[in-house]
Amino acid sequence: MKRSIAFVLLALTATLACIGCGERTYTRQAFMLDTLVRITLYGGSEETADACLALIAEAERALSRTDPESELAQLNAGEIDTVSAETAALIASALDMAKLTRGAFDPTVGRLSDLWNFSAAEPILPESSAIAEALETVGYEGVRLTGNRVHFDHPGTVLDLGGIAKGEIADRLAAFLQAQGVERAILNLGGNVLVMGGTADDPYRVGVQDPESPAGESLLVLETTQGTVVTSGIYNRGFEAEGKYYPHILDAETGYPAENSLASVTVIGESSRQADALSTACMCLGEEAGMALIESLDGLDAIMITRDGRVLFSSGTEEKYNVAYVREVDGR
Amino acid sequence: MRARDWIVIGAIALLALMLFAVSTLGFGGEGGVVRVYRDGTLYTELSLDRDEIITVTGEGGAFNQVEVKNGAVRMKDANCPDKTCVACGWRNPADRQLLPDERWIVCLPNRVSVELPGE
Repeated sequence: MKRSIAFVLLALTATLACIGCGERTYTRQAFMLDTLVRITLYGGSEETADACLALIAEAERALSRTDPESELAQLNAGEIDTVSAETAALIASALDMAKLTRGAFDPTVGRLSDLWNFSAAEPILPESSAIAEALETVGYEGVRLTGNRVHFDHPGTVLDLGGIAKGEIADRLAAFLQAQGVERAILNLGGNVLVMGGTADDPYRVGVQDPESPAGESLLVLETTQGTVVTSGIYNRGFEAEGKYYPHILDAETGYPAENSLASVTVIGESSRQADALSTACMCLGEEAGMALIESLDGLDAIMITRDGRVLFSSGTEEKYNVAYVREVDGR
Repeated sequence: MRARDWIVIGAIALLALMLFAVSTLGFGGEGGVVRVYRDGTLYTELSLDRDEIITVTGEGGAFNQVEVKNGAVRMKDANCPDKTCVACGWRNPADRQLLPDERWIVCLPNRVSVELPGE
């Protein structure tokens, strides 16, 4: 009798100790991709977590438009015409997204991006003649991809993969983690969030930033178990010149920042690469055309916040992701 | 069962209890620990139980002042151009409405990040 009590006691304490242990969590954070990258793995190892950062660093080295040593910069400068299979696949995907969005997302805006240079310490408003000149090199139809070889019909075309690279990197990380047997993870690459392995009982909560909040607080919170949430907004980067605000999202049609009622677009889906390109495209398309595009695509949802504070959802999104306002907001 | 067995069992039980306590409550006492990172690596840890102001210095004269007071945390001052980190204001880890992302106060230009303890 005494013995059985002892065993029960032992079993109880062992259980108690194990509740605490659970699955090991590995976190990493680093300033990369012009943002703070945060990675949380539930499972895996220290090595897996380090490998994630290494993967990002490698992708950044290949895809940076501003680092002259990068593969993309060399391609843009005409120093090489053949790229790695991975980069070629990403260019192919970028061109597909350009076609799908009829150029609302266009990776050939690189010359315009250079001209506007939103990441400069003090950006300046470009001359309209310079914009017209740069526009000559813009147009995704002028990019031909044969295998890993890239040809530009318009000489001087500069590819800017900034609108899709973070999504691509998030997808690559997810694929890597899956191959490593890590089933649960949160990948936060600034405006790109990708979550893996949540459950209906314990979903991930992802915030949607309030465009009006200088501290970047969330206006909405949504719940998801698996997939990506990508936001493009006018608040991330931009500058004021001659009494006008110029946000960083460029319209390939006009050569100027997109000017419409939208403050931010959040796209929810499976592929972060796709969601990334689509959030940028919707910012250029505006609320009506942008929403129509999202509605026409399977497995994709969107939340749009307008400059005057309205919140728009693609059909079913509010219920599907259990969207809620984070706090009571005046006037909303 | 001998007395010695009970001692062994008692010791195991105590160890398990301690393990449980450490893993669920953490080492940081009641309030928990605020982690301050510079350039992605841990710079210092602050206790939520103790009011204090620390300054993180970086290259080129960069500085960020992190303040802990009454269990809440803020970026008191910084010489970054956008001051987004300062605009975050006070954040209290005990605030249950705080989203996972809001447990971070980040200064991108100066590469300083502050992590509030989780729920």
